[in-house]
Formats: sequence, C-alpha cells, structure tokens
Amino acid sequence: MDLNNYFDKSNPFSVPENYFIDFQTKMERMTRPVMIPWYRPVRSWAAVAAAVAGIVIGTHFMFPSQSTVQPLSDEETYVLSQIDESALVDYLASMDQPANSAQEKE
Amino acid sequence: MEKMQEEKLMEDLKNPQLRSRAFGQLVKEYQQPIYWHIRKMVLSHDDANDILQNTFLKAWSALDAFRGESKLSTWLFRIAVNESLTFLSNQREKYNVSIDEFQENLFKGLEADSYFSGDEVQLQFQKAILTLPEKQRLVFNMKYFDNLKYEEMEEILGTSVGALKASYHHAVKKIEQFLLRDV
Repeated sequence: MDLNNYFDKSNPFSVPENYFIDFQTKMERMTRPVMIPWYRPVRSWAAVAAAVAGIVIGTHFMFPSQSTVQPLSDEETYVLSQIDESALVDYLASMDQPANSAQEKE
Repeated sequence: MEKMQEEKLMEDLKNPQLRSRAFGQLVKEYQQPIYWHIRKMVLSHDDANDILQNTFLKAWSALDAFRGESKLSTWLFRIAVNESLTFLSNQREKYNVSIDEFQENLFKGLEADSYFSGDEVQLQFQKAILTLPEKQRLVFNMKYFDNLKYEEMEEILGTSVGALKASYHHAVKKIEQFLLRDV
C-alpha cells in the first residue's frame, strides 16, 4: 500500500470565515507600541518636585534652625564685664524715653 | 520568503521604530503554514488558535534574543512545535488518562468537530495518524503534508536526518497496518 497513491493530500480541516484576517488584526493590536502621553513624564516630575518641597518644608518645621545671634567676641565680653549692671539698666531705660523729655531733664 | 526579503525583515525586526510593522508582516507571511502545522497535531480549531497566538506572542517577546542563525520560518516552527507538544502533554496530565485514552478522546473530538469536513476515509486516515507517538506524528505530518525536506526538519526538531527518515518510514508502516487491519 502506498499512502501517496491511496490518499490525496487535500486538507479536511477548515477554519471559521475570515479567521486569518481577524487573527492578523488581533496580533497587530497586541503588539502595537504603547504611546505615552507627553504630560505623563511632566506629571511625574511635578510629583517628585512636590514631594521634595514637602520634605524640605516639613524638615524646617520639625527641626527649626538655631538662633542667628552671633556669639560675643572676647573684646565685647571684656567691655561688658567692666560695666555696672545697674548703670547699664538705667542707660537702656533712658534710650526708651522720648527725645523732648531727655531735653527737659537737661 | 526570498533571502533578500528575509534579511530585510530580520533587520526591521531588530529596529524598535520598525519592529511592530515588521512583525505584522511576519504574522501575515507565516500564520497559515504554522496554524495548519499546529492544527494537524491538536486537531481542534480552538486549541490550534490558542497555540498559534502563544507562538507569535512568544516570538514577539524573544525578538531581541533571536540571533538570526536560523531562518525565521525555522525559528517560528520550532516555537510552534514546542508549544504544541507542551499543550498535548498538559492536556494528558489535566485529564489524567493513558496515551491511548487521550488519543481516543482526540479522535472523538475530531468526529464531532464542525471544522472537519473530511469523509469517512479521511477520518480513518486521521485516526491512523493519531495512533502514532506525538513526535513521530510530527515527523509524519511535516513530511507527508508539509512536504518539508529532511534537512529542514532536522533544523526544526533537532533530530538527525537519519533518525527522521527512519521515524517516517516506521510511521508509514504503522499507518498502513492500521488501515489494513480490518481488510
């Protein structure tokens, strides 16, 4: 028995109508490159910037900076040590008085 | 596909800008021969459709790894063969039946398949082919129906030409014995 003589090689299988066209379309859809909108990277950067700003501001409030008053120099410390405290208080109080009252005293 | 066309297609597949369009051409060129190759193994259209889709999606994912050492058709057929054999193996495990029972189930599915239009003679022929072990069935289909050269089959299946010739010869003998058993 020779199979080649006994059977023709015609295809007994069939497919649904338009199957191969539909399959091709489906594959094109599944392998289409994904378009990323232009604003998506910008939105990402904005989100990062907002997060950094939040951290900076939060840190400022949670850990306030030290006083900006400069420490006294050695000379200043010496000068202050030579002044009588009560005299210093009187002097500072006189600075608060209005100008004409100072003139009246004289 | 001609050599020049194939080289151009391979080049485009490696180019991210042109890849999608080139892959569309690949699908258009090879979907039918690969589909029929799968269909003759699994018989059901629905199963063949799933495997065909998996084959092309795997090919899409593996484009960067494809070195062009074999033809595109060989590469695609190789993926399709592996997918088909894996599918059949999984089906057997899923239903936990013997190989004979599994073949019988495949044949019953074929008899009831609305996408099989063969007559009784064709049906018996398909039943005879189903009695072959899966890899031998592959060899028989590729030689008898697809008319592939043994050298091409060697590239796809990774089996030597001598072993393929022997396998095909035995397959033909078994089919003849099956068909003549009731004569």
